[in-house]
Parts: sequence; structure tokens; C-alpha cells
Amino acid sequence: MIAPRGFIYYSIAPSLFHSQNAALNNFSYITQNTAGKIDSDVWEILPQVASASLTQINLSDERIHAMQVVRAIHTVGWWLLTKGSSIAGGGESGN
Amino acid sequence: MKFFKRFFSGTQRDLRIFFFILILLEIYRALFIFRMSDYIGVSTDSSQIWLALFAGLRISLKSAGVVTLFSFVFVTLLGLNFRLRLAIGIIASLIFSILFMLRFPYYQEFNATFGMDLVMGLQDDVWSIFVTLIQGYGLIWRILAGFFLTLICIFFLSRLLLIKTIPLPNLDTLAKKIIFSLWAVITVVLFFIFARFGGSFTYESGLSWENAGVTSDSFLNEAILDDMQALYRAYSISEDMEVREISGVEPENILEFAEFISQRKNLNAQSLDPYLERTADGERIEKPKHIFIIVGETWMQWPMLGKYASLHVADGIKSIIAEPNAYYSRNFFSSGSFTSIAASSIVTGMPDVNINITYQPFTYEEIYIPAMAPPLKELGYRVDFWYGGTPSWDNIAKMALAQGFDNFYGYPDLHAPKQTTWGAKDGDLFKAIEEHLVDEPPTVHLILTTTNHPPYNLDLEAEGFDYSTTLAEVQKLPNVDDPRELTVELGHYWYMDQVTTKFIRSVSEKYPDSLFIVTGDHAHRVDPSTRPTIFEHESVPFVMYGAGINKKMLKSDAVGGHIRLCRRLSN
Repeated sequence: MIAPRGFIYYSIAPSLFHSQNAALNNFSYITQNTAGKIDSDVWEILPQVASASLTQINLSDERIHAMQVVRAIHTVGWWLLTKGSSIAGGGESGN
Repeated sequence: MKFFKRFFSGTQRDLRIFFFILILLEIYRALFIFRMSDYIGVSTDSSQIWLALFAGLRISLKSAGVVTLFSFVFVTLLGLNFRLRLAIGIIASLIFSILFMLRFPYYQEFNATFGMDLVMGLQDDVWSIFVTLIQGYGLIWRILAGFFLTLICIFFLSRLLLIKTIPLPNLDTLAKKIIFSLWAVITVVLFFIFARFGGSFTYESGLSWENAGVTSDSFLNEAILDDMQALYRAYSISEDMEVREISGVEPENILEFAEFISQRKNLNAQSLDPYLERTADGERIEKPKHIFIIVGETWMQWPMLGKYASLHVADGIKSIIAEPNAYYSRNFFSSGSFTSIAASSIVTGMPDVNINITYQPFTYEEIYIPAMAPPLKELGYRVDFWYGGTPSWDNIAKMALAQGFDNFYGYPDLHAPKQTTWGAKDGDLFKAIEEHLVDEPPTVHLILTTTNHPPYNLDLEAEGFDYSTTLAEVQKLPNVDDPRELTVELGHYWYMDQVTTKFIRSVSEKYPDSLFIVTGDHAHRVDPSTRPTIFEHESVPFVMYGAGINKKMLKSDAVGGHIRLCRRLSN
């Protein structure tokens, strides 16, 4: 927003200008239309979502995507906090 | 009568043990400060040293109380051999004396008294550490010196315990015995409560390792903790970290997730850096001179929602949002349920994965790649942290400075009275910041408020809060457990809203080229009912306000959280 074009910065999550449409904490996640628990299937439609728009939204896809964001951000964050930034050999078993 | 005599005489001797240990710890504290005076900041005056000694005396009431409790239970109450009392005093003196001798090299090594580094050390190569301690830090002679100090303690303590006690008054009637018993029970209970809370009868006004850093000097704040309290701090933190499981983490898939986050494949990098690298699209607003990121204590979003408009406790921030140069997203989550999680998450750009960042060794070894300060400094800003509480709380100042912040200003820098054990009133915090702006270069201010937090002790009427009208509205809400309690909490929320809004308006007028971001540290702990929705329980507001900001800068209710907060500034 205030940086010149081409300015390099680092982030686990993309800027809101390139939103992955999911944010999280340790217990819950939020997407454009829903909020839900991470460790259970409990979720709800956000109060500001117009009921008319619900027919055009795939809420199931939103949850699947949100959980993928949760796993990715938690894993990369945990890695940085406990191992540092080196991933030499780190992803071999997963690929 | 035999029990009464033993009790009356025993409690007097227990009191001597108590004061002996208390004074011993205070002497050790004073000697430590004197011997290590080079560590005291150049701008720290003598009043801060006296403050540290007084706070230390208060917190050592706990340690002296623990030692005394052993003597009181086993000798005075259970009637074990009276020599045990002296033995308890000697053992305590020996432990405190040896720890006193060891705290000097420990502080020189870690810039702190006993803490998490000790716990981490125990998980390391213990034998190597032991050898290093002998060779590099004089472990042997320091322990011998501790024994010598203990001999001095024995000399004084044994004589102190030999002094005759005041004889038991004549309890020749049942009534006198009952009155004496009641007096004894009440006095003992009050005494141990007073010691337990560090010189207070309530937790709120008491002192603990968490809020003991009352001076403006980091060395003095560490010196306040005696060694028992410092070790207890290390124990508490490690317990906290152990019991919290790490969930949602799949280390075996690190590469897959790094690629998912970067949206780029086949980078073949050996480091996460290129996966986290982002490129800015270019300026969207003219570069502001000052940026204020206000993180309100327990600034939950639900009072701002239309459903709760009749409460009128968020009218200030809503008036800001209503202006054309404001953007507001409701789809915003905090990083966790505690203030320290939010603060460390914003500062480091890291999510909460049940690792206490402020006590994580990596935090003090290098700046995390996504940390907030480096890109902002590269853009020409100074980056300062302003907090209404004590800088040593949860290592917050140490963490921020280690992660690249230029300055940390806490409660001692505000020169304002303490409203609660957590710090000064938000109004005093904002006043200090506004006064400080006069001489500042372009600066990013991360501001963490404190007032909207238990104990809710503001004089709400004096602040102008309409308690009775709000209570009437709260009583209309369904499923509220205690409407009066919720109204008091909302009164403090209203105060935070009012002083934050006043600050934004005042600074905007004086410095029109300012940018404000307002959010909450967490929403947890104050819900609108006993059955809140996930959204009510978790969401905090995200508000941007200032020159160049408009309502279409982002899509409506763009989804976000704390770890994206400052990335927003860069891009």
C-alpha cells in the first residue's frame, strides 16, 4: 500500500490485496462467508452474508480451502519457529 | 494448653524465620544491584533503584512465605522437633546463597535472572554445560562461597531463634480460648494471603513475576525477582509450553505447504525465504508521515455490529468508519486468545502454533523472515512499540527490540499513575504518544492498550459512561449470565473506544498525513451471551483511516488476520 512497485517483503500469508480468502487462529478460521472451528465440523454463515447470495456460494469448497490454508500456515510457522528457515531435505518424505 | 503454648511460641519463631529470609533476599538483591550496577541504564535514576528494591521486597514476601509455611506446618502445627525449624531456615539459606552466587554469571550470560534459558539448557548436553560452568563460570568456588554465606546465616538465625518468645496470655476460660483461637486463625490466614499476593490481599493489586517489572530499566526489572520467583517463572512458562499441544502442523509436508503459500512451484530452494517473498504492486496512497497501528485490549467486534447498536459502546470507532477516508472489514480474526499471542504475532508475522514466541530462543537469535519492522525500516520509518503496561510483561519489550523495533515505551515511560496491575489508563498512553510526536521522524507506532481488562476498576461515571442506560439495554439481550458484570466490561470497552477515537481525531488534525489502523488483540473472554456465535467469539475489527484511504481500496469485508496486518502496509 505504501511501498513502491517491486519492493520485496516477506510474509507467511499474502497481503489482503491478494487474499487467500481465509484467516485463522489456533481454534477457528474465517472465510468470506463462513466461520468455523478447526478441530471439528462446526461452522456458521457470517451474519453479514446476504441470504440471497448463498445459492451462488459453495460453502463446502470454502471450508476445504480454509483448512488447507490452516495446515499450510501452521506448518510453515511452526517450521520457522523451531527449525529456522532452512528446508534442506525437509520436504522429501512428503513428495 | 500445651498446643496453645506451642502455637503461640511457634508462630513467633516462624515469624522470625519469615523476616530473616525476607531480609536475606533483600540484602542479596541490593548486593546484586550494587555489584552489577554497570548493567543499569545510563538514564536510570536512583528512584528506579528504590522502586526495584521495594517491589523486590514485596515479591519476596512470597518466597519467605513458602519457607515459613514448612516451619509453621511441621513444627508449629504438627509439633515435630523444634530443631527442624532451624534446619528449614538453614536449607533455605543454603539454597538462596548458592543461587545468589550463581545468578551473577547467569545474568552476564543471558541478560536475565534464572529463566527459560535454564530450562532449555537442561534439555541440552547437561554434562558439557556442567563442565563449562566449572571452567568458565567458577561453579566450584561460587558454591563454596554460597556455603560460607550460609555459615553466616546460621550464626544469625540460630541466635535469632534462641531469643525468648512472649509468653502465652492466661487462657483460663473457654471464652478466652475461643477468642484466642479465632484471632489466631484469622491472623494466620490473612498473613499468608498477604504474602501470597506479594504485599496485597487481592490478586489484582498484588505482585507476581508476570507484572513485577515496574521500573523503566530492564536490569532492575530482572533484579526484582528473587531466585525462587525467577525459578518459578521458568517452571510456569515451561509447564505452559509443555501442556499446549501443537496442532495442525505437518512437518513432513513443509515443501508442499511452502509452495501452496507462495503459489509457485519448483523453486528448488534450500530455504523458506523465496517461498515467503512477495513483491509490492506499488503505492496506493501517498506515503504517510506517521502510521499508528492501534491494538485495543479485548477489542471484540460484536459491539460494533448492527445487532448491538443500541448499546452505544462503539459509537466512536463507528463514527470514524462512517467517514469517506476509512475502510472497515468485519471478516478479521485475531491470532489467538491472549494479548501476548496477538502482540508477538503482529511483531514477528508468525501464526500461533502453541509455541510461546516471547520465550522461544530463536526469537532472540535472529529476526524472523516475516517480521514487521525490517520492511518498514527499509521504507524509511522508525518503528516504535507503545504499551500501557510494564515492558517486562511476558518479555514483550525484549521480544519487540530483538525483532527489530527501534524503541519500546511502556508504563514507566508514561509518567502516569497505575490504573491497574496491568498498567496506566489508555488515555494516559495516548496522551504520552501525542506529546512524543512533536520531535519524531516518520514513525510506525504499534500501540497496545491495557485498560479494557480485569480488574475492571475505572470510575466509569467519572469518565462519562451512562451505566444505567447501558445496563437496561444489556438486560434486553438474551442469555446474558450477569448483565451488571457485562455492563461494567462494556463500560471499559466504551472508554477504550472513546479515548482511541479522540486520539485519532486529534492526531489527524495536527498531522493530516497520518495513517491509522485499528484492531483488537483478541475477542475472547467478553461475549454477548452464554452462547455466542463463532464470529462473535473470535472476530475483531479491522479499520484503516487516513489520507488516501477509501472504502473501495479492498473488496468489501476482505478476509484477514494479524499476520497480514503489516503486510498490508507494504503492499
